[in-house]
Amino acid sequence: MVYKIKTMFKNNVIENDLPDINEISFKKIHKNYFKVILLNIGITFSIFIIGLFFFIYFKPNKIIPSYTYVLYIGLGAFLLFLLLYFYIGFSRRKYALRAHDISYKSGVLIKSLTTVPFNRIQHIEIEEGLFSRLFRLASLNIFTAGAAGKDLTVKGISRIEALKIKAFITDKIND
Amino acid sequence: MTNSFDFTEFNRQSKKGILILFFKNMYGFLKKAWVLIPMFIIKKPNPEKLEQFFLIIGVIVFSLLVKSILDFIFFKFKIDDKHFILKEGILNKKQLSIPFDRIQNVNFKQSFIQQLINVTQVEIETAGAKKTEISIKAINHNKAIAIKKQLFDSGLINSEVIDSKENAVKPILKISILELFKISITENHFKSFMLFVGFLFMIYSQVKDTFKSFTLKETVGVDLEQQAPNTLIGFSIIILIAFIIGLIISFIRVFLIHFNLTVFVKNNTLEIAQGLLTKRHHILKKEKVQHITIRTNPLKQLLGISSITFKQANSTKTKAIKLIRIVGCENKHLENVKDLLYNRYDLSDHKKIKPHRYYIFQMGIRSIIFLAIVNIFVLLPMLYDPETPANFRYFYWNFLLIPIIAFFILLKYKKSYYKFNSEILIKGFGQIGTDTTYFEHFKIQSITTKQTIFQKKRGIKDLFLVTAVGKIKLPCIKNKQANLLYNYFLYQTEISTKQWM
Repeated sequence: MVYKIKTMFKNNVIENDLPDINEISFKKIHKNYFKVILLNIGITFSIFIIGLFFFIYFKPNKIIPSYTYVLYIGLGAFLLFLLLYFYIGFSRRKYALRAHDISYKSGVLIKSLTTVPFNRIQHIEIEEGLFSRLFRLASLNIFTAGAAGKDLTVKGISRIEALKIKAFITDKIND
Repeated sequence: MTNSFDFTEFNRQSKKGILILFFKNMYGFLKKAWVLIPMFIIKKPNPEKLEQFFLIIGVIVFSLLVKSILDFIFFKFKIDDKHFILKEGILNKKQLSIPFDRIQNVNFKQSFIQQLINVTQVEIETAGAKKTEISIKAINHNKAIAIKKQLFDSGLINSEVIDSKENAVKPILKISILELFKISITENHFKSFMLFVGFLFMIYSQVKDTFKSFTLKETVGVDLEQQAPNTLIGFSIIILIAFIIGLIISFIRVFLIHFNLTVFVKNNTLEIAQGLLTKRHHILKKEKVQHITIRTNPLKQLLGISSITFKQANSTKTKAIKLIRIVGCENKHLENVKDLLYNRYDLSDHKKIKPHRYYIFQMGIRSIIFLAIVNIFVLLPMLYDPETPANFRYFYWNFLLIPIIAFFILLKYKKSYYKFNSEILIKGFGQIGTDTTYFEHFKIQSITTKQTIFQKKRGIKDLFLVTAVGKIKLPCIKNKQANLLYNYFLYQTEISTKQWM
């Protein structure tokens, strides 16, 4: 199957050595971003636990008392699993900038890789979340004319790096 | 008589347009004021109040009429120095000046009322940072054509030459009423209809069983077994009625949308006119078409026809999609359209590249999970409700559903393939119907691959081509092929200087 494609390409006068996305080295996102993830999980969980606590406390007839321990243990296990998932996934989050496109890859159970060519970029946004700002980190959001929202997002790079990349791409587009 | 109009001075719409504007204003008013209507209905009709009521209505109608006349008077447009200039507004005045090269599309539309009074609506779509859509609600048809020529074929000066050219161009496709009837029968509304029937069926049996358990308490000794054949006949009759209704609805839909379908090919554009109550005239610029999908099904193949859906990008900012569909195309029409849009599109000598067999397994697993969830949702309420006896007969449906689902999965795999050359990609898909999508490489907006851990073990991944009108998925491709395609699509897009829109 594969060699057939190569011969098809030969016939069509295309160079056999196309630039290969899999041969370039990707850069990891900033390690401090993991702290941002932890903070986000922490806040979400706290709100959830407080809500649950109030629910159990004020409506005792809804849940049989002995089950509440099971609930808390279950939640604890879920939290641990979530942390493990993010920890493994964190080192997989990488991005790469080439002369004509920008790429991002990530994923634990489902690995994904996305590339956006510069000449299809409509606009670029730099977003700084509340916690990201504490560590001087930012997200780079890239929009094309593609049908769904943001086409590529790189979260957790330093603010300076984000600005540099934005300037680099803008420069390339205006050429 | 020359059909030349002078657009260098400000023009107004046709006077009949006042009527159209009146209806538009009335509709707008009703939309805002409908909340007040119940107030009038609830109160008892009192002769004095009735007079007041009619007086109020009269005032409203009169002011709407005055507003329509003023709207008409203040709506002016002209063409000056390759710009389309529009002035409108009574109190809040607006002036728009649009350069020709920002004009994406000029379309005509005729609603039922507009057809009655013989005026045309002209819609001008623009691109660029500020997306605007200009709508001239009522123009004499010849004037509309003249405007279109000036805006669209900007560069062509001699309007008389264009006129005679227009008359000489024969449509490549024209559908008669009889053909329309044949087409409506072949439309694949069966699938959605079947789903609808299945859904009705489920609800019906649920309701029936709930009521059965109630009657059991009241009238002991009713022989339910006797009832069973009656319910079966009842089901069949309902399905038959739903089928006939579905058929009638699809006939009406096809008739309304595709009445008098006529397709012209001119100057690198495709002009499509169709519609009964609302006549639409689309001008499809070749570059704006992102991809086309040709659909056929066993019934259509009997008649030798297919339908083509053009997905067009509207504007870079609003991400709006335009779907234009033509039906009843024979092979020669398909060739005409492909000729217009693509250079080398004949890939019949290329071998179809099928997805990895794992795709079947993947679809199977997902269907099983879906079925399991559905089963659980049926089981849970039954277990919790002490009144309805746990009726495990429902789970027998699984024995019927599983082979049906398996059949459709295999059918879907059979229809899945892709082919490509240096210019386009062809994707085949579908289940009952056979669909084919044609797509030019350089029109991707971005490209993505996704790989689950199960796919990784087998060395395959899913490839997504993100276009301005949606994603095209190529499932379960071998890694080497996927990487090659990924790199190649990017390469084509990055070196391309062609307009993708």
